Amino acid sequence: MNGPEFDELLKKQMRGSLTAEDDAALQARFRHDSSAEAAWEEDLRLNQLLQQVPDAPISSNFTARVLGAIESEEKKEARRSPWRGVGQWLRVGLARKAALATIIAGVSMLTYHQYRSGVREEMARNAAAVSSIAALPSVDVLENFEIIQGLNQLPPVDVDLLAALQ
Amino acid sequence: MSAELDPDAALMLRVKQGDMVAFEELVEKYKQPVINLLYRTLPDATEAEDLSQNVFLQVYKSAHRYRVTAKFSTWLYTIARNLCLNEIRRRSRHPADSLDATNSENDDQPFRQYEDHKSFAPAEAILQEELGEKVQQALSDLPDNQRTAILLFREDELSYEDIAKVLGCSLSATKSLIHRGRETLKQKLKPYLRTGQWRESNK
Repeated sequence: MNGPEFDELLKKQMRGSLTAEDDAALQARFRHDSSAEAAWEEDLRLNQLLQQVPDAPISSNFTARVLGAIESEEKKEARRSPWRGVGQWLRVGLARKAALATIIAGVSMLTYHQYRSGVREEMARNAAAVSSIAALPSVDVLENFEIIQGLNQLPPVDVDLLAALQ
Repeated sequence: MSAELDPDAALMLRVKQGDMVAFEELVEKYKQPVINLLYRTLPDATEAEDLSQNVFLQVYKSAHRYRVTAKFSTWLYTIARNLCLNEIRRRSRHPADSLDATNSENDDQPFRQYEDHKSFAPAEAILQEELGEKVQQALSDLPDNQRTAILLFREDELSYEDIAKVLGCSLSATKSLIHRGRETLKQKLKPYLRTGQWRESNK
């Protein structure tokens, strides 16, 4: 029986799972080698010392702090990456992407059509408004336009003559 | 490895689905063993606790990658060991902490606080405390691999194969580590193994 085999039996002894065969093997070993029993006793004592090493101190709210750290981490992740949505988008399957693209295209076309309809209506309203304005003077009148304009260029009023005529 | 054989693996699969109650259950069960493992390497209660919290944070963040190919405890201790090694490497690059530093919360108290498990008469209490310190010191003096192997060896649910997975060693190397570590401890603690001061533990 070599060192590691001895340790194997020690582990079984620590777990309380030494079988009758194991015990018999040990007793046989002890009969052939008296120092083996002393070594076994020493190992048993070492096991007990190791089992009695005190637990490390730990906060009573350890679990709550772990959960708090997770929540904190998740909030940081959400704030850290504005491209997180893009990353998530990239992970979406092809079929879903195609469906979403179709919907967006449809909504865009509908919106554009409504815009164009609105523009045409506006133009029609404007045309109607213009047509309701009084008709333009005839061409004959326009031919005399220069004469009328010339009337603006009359000489200044003779005030004295006006006064004499009254 | 079937989830039916390992109830902790079943809990971890629930965590993978977002079950926080299952996660809390795992934290409650393993917080002490994890911090015990880390505390023997980073003999500062605050740092060991902070690192332990990071272990469970990492467990949660890695939940989506969890596969039931090993016991949950093996996976957990592997994460703990890796984070511990990272911390040791970080310290070797940036040595800043004094070994003589006291507990930051209670400056007049020594680093290591021992919880009383039994009530002893004063002389026996002193003896037990001295013995505990000797064992603790002997463990701390071991090479890291041997110490970790022996601490994992204490855990009932871990087999030699599980310990080998955590350490990243072969089975024979793991057994050798445990055997050499124990031999070193026996040498260092010989007076205490012979004087029978351990006998209180038999009660």
